[in-house]
Amino acid sequence: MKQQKEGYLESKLRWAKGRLAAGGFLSALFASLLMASAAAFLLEILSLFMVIPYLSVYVCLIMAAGVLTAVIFSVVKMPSEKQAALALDAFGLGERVVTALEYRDKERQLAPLLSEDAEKHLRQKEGEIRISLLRKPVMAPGAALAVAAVIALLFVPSPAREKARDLREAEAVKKEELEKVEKAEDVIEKLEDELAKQNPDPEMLAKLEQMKKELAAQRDAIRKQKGSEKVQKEGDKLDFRLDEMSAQLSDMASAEENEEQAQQISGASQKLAGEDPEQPEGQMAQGGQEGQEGQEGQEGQEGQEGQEGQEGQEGQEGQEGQEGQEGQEGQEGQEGQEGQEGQEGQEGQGGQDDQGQSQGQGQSQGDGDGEQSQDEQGQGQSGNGEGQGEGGQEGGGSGNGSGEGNNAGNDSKGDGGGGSGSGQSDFGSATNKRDYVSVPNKTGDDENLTGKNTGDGNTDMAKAQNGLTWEGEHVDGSSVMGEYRKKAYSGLSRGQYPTGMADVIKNYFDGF
Amino acid sequence: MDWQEGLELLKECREQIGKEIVGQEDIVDQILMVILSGGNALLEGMPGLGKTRLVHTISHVFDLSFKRIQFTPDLMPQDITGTSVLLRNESGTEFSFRKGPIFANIVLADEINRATPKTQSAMLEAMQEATVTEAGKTYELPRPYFVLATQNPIETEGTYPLPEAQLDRFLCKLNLTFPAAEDLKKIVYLTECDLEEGEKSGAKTVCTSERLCELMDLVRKVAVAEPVMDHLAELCTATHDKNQYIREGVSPRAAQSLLRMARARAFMQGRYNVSFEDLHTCVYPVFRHRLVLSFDAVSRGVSPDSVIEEILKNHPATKA
Repeated sequence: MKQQKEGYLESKLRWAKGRLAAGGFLSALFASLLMASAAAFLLEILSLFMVIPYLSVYVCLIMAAGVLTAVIFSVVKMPSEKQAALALDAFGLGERVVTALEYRDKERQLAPLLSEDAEKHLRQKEGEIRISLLRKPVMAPGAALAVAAVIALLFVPSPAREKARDLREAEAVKKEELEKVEKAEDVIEKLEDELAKQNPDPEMLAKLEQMKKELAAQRDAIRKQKGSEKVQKEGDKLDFRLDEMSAQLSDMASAEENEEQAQQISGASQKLAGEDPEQPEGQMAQGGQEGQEGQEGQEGQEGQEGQEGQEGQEGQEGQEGQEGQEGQEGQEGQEGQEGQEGQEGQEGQGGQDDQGQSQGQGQSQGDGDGEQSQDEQGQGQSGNGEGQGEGGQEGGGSGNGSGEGNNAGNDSKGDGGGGSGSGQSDFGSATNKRDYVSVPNKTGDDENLTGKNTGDGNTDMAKAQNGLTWEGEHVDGSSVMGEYRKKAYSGLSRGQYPTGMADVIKNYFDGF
Repeated sequence: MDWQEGLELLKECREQIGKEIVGQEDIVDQILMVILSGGNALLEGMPGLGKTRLVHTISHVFDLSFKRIQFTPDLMPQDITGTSVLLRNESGTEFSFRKGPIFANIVLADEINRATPKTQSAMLEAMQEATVTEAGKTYELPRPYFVLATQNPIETEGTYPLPEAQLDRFLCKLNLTFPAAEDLKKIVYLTECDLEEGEKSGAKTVCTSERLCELMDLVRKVAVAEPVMDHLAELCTATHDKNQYIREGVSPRAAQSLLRMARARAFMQGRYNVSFEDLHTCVYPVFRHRLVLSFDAVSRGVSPDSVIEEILKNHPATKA
């Protein structure tokens, strides 16, 4: 019985303690939220007039600090059993509970009397005892209102906040560009280290050193920039420079006699260009996918044999000697079939943009003319096919294909032309927003085009139905150039090209 | 004696006292608290309010000897404590100590402020020490021993107000008020009218001095929790805070007196422990004669009870 009675008192005390702890936590929470909201509110007001880049982060930190303070405070100020007893006594129990609690462990005659008396009165008042969780009810809506005001003010626009947003974006872009620079520097340094072990050409090392200096200068330039637009422009310059370095390294690889060194340099060139020679097929580079190689130009068809010239007819007898008719000309050897156009370089796959969409456009243009040869040789034309792929937001690709077909009618041999293609993609970045301008050969430039010149500035492409050819598209040359011009100027207006290139591009298109 | 028995006895004593004393319940309760605490009380009230009758009734109910001393300016200390007289007997002459009126269980010191300070101090010394020393010999005063001193709030000309040090020896100061009309009617009826047999009911003796001592022992055992003790100390120290109406705060003896009286009250309420309410009720009689008010208070007519009320308001009891 005694144990049972103690149990009742203990359980009531435990209950009261729990309620007090919860109430204390809520009070601390509301008070902390009010104070944190006041601080956050002040900061947000300040941010309307001053540039504060990471305002939402600071606000979140302030509010989180408020909540954490409340938690710590309520843990530190956890109510004791005595406080719970006093809370129960406040309901007209005349401090019976707290006295019984204090005398619980004392060897006094009075101790059991106190417990019994406390429990008796506690049971009588059980229905009236209510320990509220909200000590100050007005604080709850006050805190809610304060938090709502803080959240609402976060979305109020102002010029300073726009600048802050721009700064944030610039920082993000800057970070990516600097990462690119670092990676490029790593590639060059690794190449340097590898070449150093193999008795390299000092001129080569000097070029690599020069590249490193340029990268360092580019990094400084990127760091100095403030606005996102300016950082973007520096990023464009960096990409342009990386492409140039890749091309330089590629040339160096070609010129290198030492096969091993050539491979190393070629690998570095590919890395700068964004290709990872060690990456298995099908894996996306961080940026866009590589443009696929242009396919080989197909073999030129065999030229048909020139037909024999017909025999001159015999002069007729008896007739006065008429001249024998001329032998008919031997028929022209048929034209050697055109060498098939080099297939388009496959589109450079667009890297994924933020929504995972890839964009790419391919243009192909093939010109080919077959030449008729009097000696009954047919020459397959050489066709140049150029494919231009536009990368989407994140990738650029271009493929070039060329093919030549030569057909000699006499020996009915046709050699297929070689094709080459190269694809390019971004080096590293997933957020590159630039478009490359592909500068095609000028029409009318006889050095670069073979085929029939119609004389009116248009090129003509022969359609041919043959099992090995496919129908081409008759495209007006001026519309093609117009497309190029349009894209170039669009890119200029968006500031996607390095500043120094703008004049070059304008002059080029104005020259047509 | 166990607790329940003690409560029953006390309840009976209270009933008996109520037969003789009409109204003044608070005063009767407080005097009982003083008696149970083993202290002395200072009663202040107009003449004719029944102070003597009250003390006489209490002494009858508890079977305690009672003596009344009327203090006058010409009263001498020996008139209170007693004196040695020369006696002639067969063996010769010798001094014999004749005990004074102070040798009683309950002493009513009427208008104590009218006697000279020398006489007052003789009285108060006896109260404090519970002994009387005469001609080098010490005589114990009877146990239990209570002094109920009275003061007249008017006619203060030619009186000797008790100094604060002497006032501090009284457990509490009780203010007797004029009875209500109904109570007054009853008083007059009971005392001046012919009562029928059934109406005549005097107080009976229901307790003895030994049993009263047991009751006092029980009261001393009433439990006090720490928060209650903290609040008691807080109230006492609050009288020493900067206050424009208080020149001097209460002494530590006030804290002791407050606790004793609060215990008695708790016991009379049927509780085994002291509560905040006990402190708040007892703080008025315990503090009011101990607070030395400033000139500001006196000039503005601020009473000690108002000051105590302000202190209670500024220092509420500790709650969770």
